[in-house]
Amino acid sequence: MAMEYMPSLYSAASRLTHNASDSEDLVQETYLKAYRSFATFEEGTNLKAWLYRILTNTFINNYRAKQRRVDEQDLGDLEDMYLYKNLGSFESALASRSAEDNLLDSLTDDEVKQALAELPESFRLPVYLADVEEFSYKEIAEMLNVPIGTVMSRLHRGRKALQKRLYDYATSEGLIRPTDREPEHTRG
Amino acid sequence: MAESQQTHPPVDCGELLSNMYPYLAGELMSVDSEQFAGHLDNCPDCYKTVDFHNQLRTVIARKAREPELPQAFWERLQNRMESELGDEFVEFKPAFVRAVEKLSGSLLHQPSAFEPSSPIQGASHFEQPSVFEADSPFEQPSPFDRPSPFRPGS
Repeated sequence: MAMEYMPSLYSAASRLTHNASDSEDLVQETYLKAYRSFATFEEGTNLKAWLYRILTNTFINNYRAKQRRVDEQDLGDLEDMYLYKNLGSFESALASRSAEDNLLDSLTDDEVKQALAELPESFRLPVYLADVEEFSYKEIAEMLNVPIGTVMSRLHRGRKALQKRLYDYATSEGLIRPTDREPEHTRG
Repeated sequence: MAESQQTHPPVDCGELLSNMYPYLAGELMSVDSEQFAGHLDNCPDCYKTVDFHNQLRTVIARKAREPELPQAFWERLQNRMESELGDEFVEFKPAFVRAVEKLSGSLLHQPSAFEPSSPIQGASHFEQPSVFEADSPFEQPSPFDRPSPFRPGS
């Protein structure tokens, strides 16, 4: 039985629910609903988007209630391109390009997953769907039933918050040093 | 009126970069995308910024995925479908299977050999593993095969 597309749905489910057994349930629910309503699926429309719409709707209806609702104001006000700008302040100390590569390589899968998991859901979904699953803004707007402008502003803010978390991981592990806005005098 | 539109207005880097993600995602209209790409060819700072974020996107996408399904997933799914769908569930509908097979080619096996240092050319050395019959056309391009409008500098 070659239903190997499931890993992708499972990956999405994991990012949504944070929990292996919920993820599996969510994928199974999605699968059942898709199977039941497959007659309504029109040949030629985007199957991946259709499946993800079922997945996100199921998540929103069945699972979201379980989770603590965190809303938008919790993201705070962050500067644009947070990671890059803070990384940029080290440019002289770092061999710029290779240091960036090292930083990006050094972030572990778990850190990236955790950073995503910590985003409030209204930001996590658009960021995940756009930047991991590469859906178009229009598709995401349809999946989440919000206007495209809302998708874009949540993406904008969600990415900044994600970058802040990645930056925090990187500094806490010494991958990069915390930003010193003022140059530090070296001793000896 | 018309004559004032003859020349391109100077590009403001900050304003341009506010469209960086739409540009990388291929969401800009072609005229804007061309203007963006044209600016990158001539502005090393913007190029570097966009290059970094392009890599960051790639790294996040690659590291946020969860390729492993639990071992017993299929068994549990099968049981659940049998119990919940009853007679409705004979076996997986062939049309459904065909449709998801088409799709699955684009979703399977993340490109582990995908070098974060070369996201722009990445698609070319990502070999699509062929796990299905040869007659399952992978019509849907992998996200990694989506042509990136980000051109490495000249």
